Amino acid sequence: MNAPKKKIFYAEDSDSLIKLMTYKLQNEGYDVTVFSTGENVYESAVTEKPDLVILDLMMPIKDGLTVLKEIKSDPATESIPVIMLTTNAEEENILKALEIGAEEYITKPFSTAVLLAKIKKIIG
Amino acid sequence: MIYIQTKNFFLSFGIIIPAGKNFLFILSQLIIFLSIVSILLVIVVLIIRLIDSYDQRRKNDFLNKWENDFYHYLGSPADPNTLLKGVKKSQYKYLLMVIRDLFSVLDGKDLESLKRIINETSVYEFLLNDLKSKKTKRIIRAAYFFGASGNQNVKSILFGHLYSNKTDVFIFCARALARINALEYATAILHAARFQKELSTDILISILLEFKSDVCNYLLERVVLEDDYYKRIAIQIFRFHGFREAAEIVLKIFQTSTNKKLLVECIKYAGSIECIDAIPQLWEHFEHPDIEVKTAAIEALAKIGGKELIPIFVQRLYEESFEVNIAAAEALFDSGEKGIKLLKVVAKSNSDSKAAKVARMILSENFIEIDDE
Repeated sequence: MNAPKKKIFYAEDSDSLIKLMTYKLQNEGYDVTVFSTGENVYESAVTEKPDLVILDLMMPIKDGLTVLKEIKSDPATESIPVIMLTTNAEEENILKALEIGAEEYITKPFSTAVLLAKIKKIIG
Repeated sequence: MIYIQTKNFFLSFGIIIPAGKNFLFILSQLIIFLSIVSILLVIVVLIIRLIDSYDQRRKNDFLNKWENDFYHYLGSPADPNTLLKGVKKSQYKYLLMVIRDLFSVLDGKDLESLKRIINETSVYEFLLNDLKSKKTKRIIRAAYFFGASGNQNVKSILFGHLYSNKTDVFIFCARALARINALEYATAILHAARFQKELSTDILISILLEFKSDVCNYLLERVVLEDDYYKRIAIQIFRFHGFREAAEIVLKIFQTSTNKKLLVECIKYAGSIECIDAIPQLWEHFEHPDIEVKTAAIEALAKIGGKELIPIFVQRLYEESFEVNIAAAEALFDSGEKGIKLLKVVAKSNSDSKAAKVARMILSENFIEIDDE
């Protein structure tokens, strides 16, 4: 019997990047749920318990840092690993994200191969 | 009744309506005319919508067929010509829309794959035609992609557009040359920029910062020979790159120039690289009659440091100019423990004085309590 697919939440507001990453992640055998804003990511994480959350820092309605804080401050979701997607100019935010408890960060522009390698390292 | 109301209405616009049968004739003609115009407008809107939805459908059909192959191709060593087999030239615009979004967010092998689509397939010829055309939209699109893909073959065509009378064309072509790191065109960009009346200095700087840092060596070789505008922009680029090798030449310019804007740039540069050799000259400008020059000198001296300057900064807190007060308070803050202590003393001294208010503002901006001792 096949092992269940690992579930990844991917929150990002760039349509092109969502399509690309969804393709790459599904191709690697992950089950991907996409969010185009930061809204509902935490609420869905509580009910669905994903294996990993990838959060873009700059998103409409609710930014990545706020969602990260929600996830990491709830005992029900705090153990879910989070990867933050940032830009180089956001050094201060990178430090904040690591302080709040993000497991890893990756800066844009990035290589999808590097992101996939980091994901594999965290959840296999 | 209708006649009187209509007559009064048109009279308010200064139009006189004739009476009797002539009025009815004109009214009926007017109604017919308006009806025809309305129908034509509706038809035009419908046609635009139809074209739009047809284009959208074509785009979606193309993307549905092509996107997965494209994502599979990204990051792989596959030949981009294989990916483009079966893609018509009329569909290139959809393909370029997808690529454009990804150029700014992808790196490594993914970015190389994108570049290969532009440089090694028939997309290159397609964009080359765009770049050679006279249409702004097409030139801008081609310049963006050639710049992003680092294409060295189109430099001379991009250069030809620098003297365009359209600012957008200048911006995109200059940016493309900078992204390609075509150093030999840096001076041409600076010269052509003068003819662009709608171009701000900030945008010009952002363009020049797209060059790699070796642009500083290139500018340094020429800066002495050029005019004040060139010097001012070049010194800003040196400052953004923290290029210390320009210190000697910038100090010479600082000594001899009387151009206020250029002086300010020299001072900012000296402060940013903490140039100790500049202290005597900065000191002279401490008393400069122009507030902008004086403020820049205070800020620069604060960055370079020196505890002996602290009493002078305190004095400047009580000057008339608010800008100078702020610069002095920030300088005191940057001077370290002693400066902060003095700022607290001033902040507590006389609650209504301007100096006390400025001191409190700077302390509060930096989350420092006045009474924390």
